[in-house]
Amino acid sequence: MTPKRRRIDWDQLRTRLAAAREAAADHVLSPERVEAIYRERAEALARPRTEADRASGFRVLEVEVGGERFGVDLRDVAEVLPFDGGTPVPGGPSELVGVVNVRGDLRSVTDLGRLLGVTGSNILGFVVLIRGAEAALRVDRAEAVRTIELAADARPDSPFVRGVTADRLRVLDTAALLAHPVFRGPSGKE
Amino acid sequence: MGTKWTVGRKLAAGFAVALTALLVVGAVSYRSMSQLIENAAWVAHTHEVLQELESLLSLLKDAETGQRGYLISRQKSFLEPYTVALTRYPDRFREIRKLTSDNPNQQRRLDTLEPLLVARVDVLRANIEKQDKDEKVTIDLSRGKQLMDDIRRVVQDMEAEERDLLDRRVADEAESVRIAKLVIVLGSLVAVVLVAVIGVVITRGITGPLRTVTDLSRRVAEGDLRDETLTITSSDEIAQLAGTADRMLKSLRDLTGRISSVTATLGGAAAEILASVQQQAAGTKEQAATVQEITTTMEEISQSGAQISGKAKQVAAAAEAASAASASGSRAVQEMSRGMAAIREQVEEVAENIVGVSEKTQAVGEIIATVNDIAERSNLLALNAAIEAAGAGDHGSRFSVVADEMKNLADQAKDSTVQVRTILGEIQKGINTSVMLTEEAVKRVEAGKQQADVTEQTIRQLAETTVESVRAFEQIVGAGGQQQIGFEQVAQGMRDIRQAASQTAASTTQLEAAAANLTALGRALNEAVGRYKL
Repeated sequence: MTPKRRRIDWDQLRTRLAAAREAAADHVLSPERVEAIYRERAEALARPRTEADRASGFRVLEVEVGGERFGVDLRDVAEVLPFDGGTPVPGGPSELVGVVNVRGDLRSVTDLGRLLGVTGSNILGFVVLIRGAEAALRVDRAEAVRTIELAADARPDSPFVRGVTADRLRVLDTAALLAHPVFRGPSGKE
Repeated sequence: MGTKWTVGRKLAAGFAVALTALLVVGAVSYRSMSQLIENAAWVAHTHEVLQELESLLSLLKDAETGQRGYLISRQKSFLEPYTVALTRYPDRFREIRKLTSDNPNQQRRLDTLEPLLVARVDVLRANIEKQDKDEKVTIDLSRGKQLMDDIRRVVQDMEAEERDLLDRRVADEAESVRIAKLVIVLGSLVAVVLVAVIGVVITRGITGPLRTVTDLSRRVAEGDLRDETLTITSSDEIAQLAGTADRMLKSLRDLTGRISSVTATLGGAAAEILASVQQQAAGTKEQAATVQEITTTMEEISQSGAQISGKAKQVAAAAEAASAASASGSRAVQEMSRGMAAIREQVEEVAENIVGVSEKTQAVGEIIATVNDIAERSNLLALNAAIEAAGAGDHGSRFSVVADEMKNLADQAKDSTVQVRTILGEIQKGINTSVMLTEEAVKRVEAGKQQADVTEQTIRQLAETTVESVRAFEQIVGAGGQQQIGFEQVAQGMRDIRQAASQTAASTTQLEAAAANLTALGRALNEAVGRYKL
């Protein structure tokens, strides 16, 4: 709805249409764009590993649940899978959202948000399988793998949090988490 | 004489009495006169009988004389008296018998006389026959004398009888005359007395009441109408006259009373008429002024009408021009309507093309979903690769770099799909907008077409209205002319009214004088009626 009457320049319009058509027909990125991508990738690869990475830095899987970001030590993570909802377990604890089949192994899926007292979202999200345990944590999102360094002065606000980074990423204490009663219940196979 | 009798009856009764007296006297006189005349006739009759008897005897004597002469002289010439007597005596005898037919005594005597006469004549005839035969005539004188004496005796008896009758009739006559005289004198006297008495009585019966009525009439003539019932007991014409006069008096009194009241009413009415006439005079003056105003106004209206007529002609010309303009306008709008229809068709084609494009963007969206899915999987794959690399410790450090790179590519792919999806969303939004705009355009074109149709209809109506207006203005112009004529007529009418009003004013003046006269007349009438004492 444009009440302002604008005279249309049909010649210019036709030129623009032709240009668009040509661009769509090529199906290729512009050489400059391709060059830029290549350079960016090369720069990333050529970046040397820092000293911090080696000393106190460690890699974590950054997950998100209920709008809050948490870090899980990458060494504790076995696999990340898309969550298909699983099979509900009647009579189970409220944190237990269901059981999934991972290549023949049944895993009980526990909602990380409910464990941490964070209100979860409605999306199915992902399942993070913990290495060396049968535990499986449901998260809203499994974003990326990062190399982080814990801030020294930050006090963890939860018994399940090991430390906090400078950008307020809370790194979970996997061992404390696995000590939760839900993993040692009747269904637990410790 | 009864008091219930009418005057006519009284007069008739009086005249009847007088006439009766006259009739009685006349009848008696007539009877006496008749008797006298009859007696005279009878005397004459007796004399005639006597004469006839004498004549019969004389004829017998003539016959005897003739016979005697013939016998003596033997000459036939002496026989003449004899033959004459013989031929005549039967007539005489029959005459006598006829005359005395009313008297049986005389008839009886005639019966005895007749054979005697025949015998005597036979004797005479026998003597003459003997003489004719020259025989010796022995005259039987004794027989002849005997017969003759008998005859004479009979005749004398008859004569005596007649004379005796004559004497008696004379005596009767004298008696009759005496009675007649007496009756006439006495009857006349009685009649005179009766008529005098009746006259006095009738006169007295008529004049008394008449005088009473006359007195009443005199009082009425003098204007005295006071109630005074007349005391007349009889029921004759005078009494009726008195009753009538009495009623006349009452009617007159009533009439006078009514005249008096009517006169009062008349006086009031005359005053009212006078007042009305004065009001009418004032009204007539106002009417004249109003007529003057109306005339002025009519002239002004007439001028306005002429102006209106001129304006109407101008408007009619303008309406003609408007009619032509609206015809060309109607054609233009029709063409515009057709153009609108064509635009609509094209716009609809555009809308269909856009819908086709929109359907193609749906396919693009599906492709983007597929690409996005691949990117998600690649991301997850890179993540797991990184996890595996971490699990491998330092040996996996180089793989970890590759995993990171894969992760970057997956993220870029995801970002690109997000961008493409955003662009596609914008394209779809633009398509939606275009469709809506196109729909709006179609609607506008439709509305424009309807508007054009309405405009065309309006222009047609306008043209029709204009034509009607032209006709109406022509009628107005015509009506204006008629109106001018009508105004002329009205002006003429106003002049007539003004003239009539001036005539009315003159009439009103006359009417005023007449009303004044009427008032005076009422006053005079009142005085005239006031003379009567009620």
